[in-house]
Amino acid sequence: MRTTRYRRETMQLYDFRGVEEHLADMAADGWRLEKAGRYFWKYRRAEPKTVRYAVTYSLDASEFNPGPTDGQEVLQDLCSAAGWQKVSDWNQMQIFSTEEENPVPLETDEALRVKIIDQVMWKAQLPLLALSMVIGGFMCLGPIMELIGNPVRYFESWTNSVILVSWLLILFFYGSNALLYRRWHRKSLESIACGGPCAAAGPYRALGRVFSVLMLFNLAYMLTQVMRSGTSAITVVFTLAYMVVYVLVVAVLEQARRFMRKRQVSRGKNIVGVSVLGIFLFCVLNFLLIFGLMGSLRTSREAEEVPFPLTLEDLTGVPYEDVQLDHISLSPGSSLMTRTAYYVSGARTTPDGETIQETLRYEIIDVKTEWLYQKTLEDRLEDKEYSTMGTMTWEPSDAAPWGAEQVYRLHYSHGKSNSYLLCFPGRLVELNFTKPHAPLTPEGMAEAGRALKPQT
Amino acid sequence: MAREKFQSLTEQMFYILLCLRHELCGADIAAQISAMTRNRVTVGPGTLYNILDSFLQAEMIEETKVEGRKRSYLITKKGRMMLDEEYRRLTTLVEDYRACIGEEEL
Repeated sequence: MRTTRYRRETMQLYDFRGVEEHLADMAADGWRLEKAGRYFWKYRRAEPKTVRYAVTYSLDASEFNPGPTDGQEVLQDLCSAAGWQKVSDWNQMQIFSTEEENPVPLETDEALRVKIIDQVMWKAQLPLLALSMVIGGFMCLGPIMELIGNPVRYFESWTNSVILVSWLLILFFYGSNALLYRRWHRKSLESIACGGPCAAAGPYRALGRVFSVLMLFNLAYMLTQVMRSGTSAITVVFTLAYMVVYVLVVAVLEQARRFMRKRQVSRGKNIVGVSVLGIFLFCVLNFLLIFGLMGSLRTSREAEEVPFPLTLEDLTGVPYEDVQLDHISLSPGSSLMTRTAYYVSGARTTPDGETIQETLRYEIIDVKTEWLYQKTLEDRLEDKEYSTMGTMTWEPSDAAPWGAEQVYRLHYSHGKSNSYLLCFPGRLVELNFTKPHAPLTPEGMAEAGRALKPQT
Repeated sequence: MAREKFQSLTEQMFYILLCLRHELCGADIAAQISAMTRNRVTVGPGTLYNILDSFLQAEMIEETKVEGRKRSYLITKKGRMMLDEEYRRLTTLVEDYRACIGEEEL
């Protein structure tokens, strides 16, 4: 039978009543709090008993202090004289217990309690909440601007959605927690003004559960997108490894804080040391993420064997020599959009015995929603190209030979190019055939249309 | 709670200052208040700690002795002035009450 148990507790620092009731329930179930840690609370098995818990706050307490402050010792002695034994501290919260029937309450002035809790919150939590919200807002700004200004580019990569949703969730979670605290503070003051006790804490635990579930959904979406865009195991392994390393970094920082505490390093130096180490490790980790994940995506893509929907032989009906095939995923893609480019080159011999080099390049853009389809089409048509042949613009062309809904052809100042934009339901294809001597034949267009339209 | 930083004192603050006319350690303050008020007023250790801390910061009391972890306190001139001020305020309240209720009863 195990004698210790670790639990991840989600109580807020101001919810003294929630902590007291939870610990009393745990004691009744035979689990006594031994240590309230930053990430996990440690419980020790004991005889199930009615134990009263009460918490108070010490403003000068800190998890970075090398030991209990003079103030904490004074408080502990005062509580001890009143029959309360110190159990643990959790940030500025000091947790005491007693088995006495009718102990003197730790706090006998509700207004003073609210004032001290407010000071603790402003010292320990609210600035961090505010900082997290500022960072969250800043991180959301880029993807939101892109979503509004250039939705096509935004949906070209699933990473934009994952980043935006993650930071929006964090923003919502921290913002809600800050608002819930202010609501508790206001209601407590109102209650005390009428001679009542502090108000009950709001539904922050339910909010935390909703946040966790939504974050898991976001994580699951990220993994599905990684697998969809990268396909290979190396990408999934890299992503999972990143998460494990992230947890390890957090554990390393926690160990560093404890180590410096044991070595009696002052509070200020401990905070600076952990902060510097944290920034360094997270920079390294993000460097690995950006370059490692991109590298693994590229590697996995290159290793894949992808069938080519259209080759030079399909287009012209004649054989080619020295055929080279290449393809590249132009962006990671998202569940709403994917972009893949194919490149084919080869040499053929004309009836005159001349060997000519020809290339075919086409880009397939699959779009899942009508709105995004129209945006992508507009984006392409507005995209003027500039070359030595003058400004090039897309002009409508006959779609019938291609079997497409609409077709545009790229025109330059003095003529037409061999570049076409084919519009199929849910798919746009930009095709460029560098055949120097003649335009595409109707048969070639029909064959290209058949090969490049979405396969139902 | 200190009513807007000691413009007036709460009942618990009043009794703490009253007890500290003589040097006392923290635990004894709570016991003396209970005895003085026949358990009508109780000061919890958490509340006592925070009030003592705010009185020290406002220089209304001073630390007189530190024996190990045991600390003793004594009221200062400033604290005594606050206590007297509170007494006068309370007396005024009582006098006003007597004046009003007395008139009605007459």
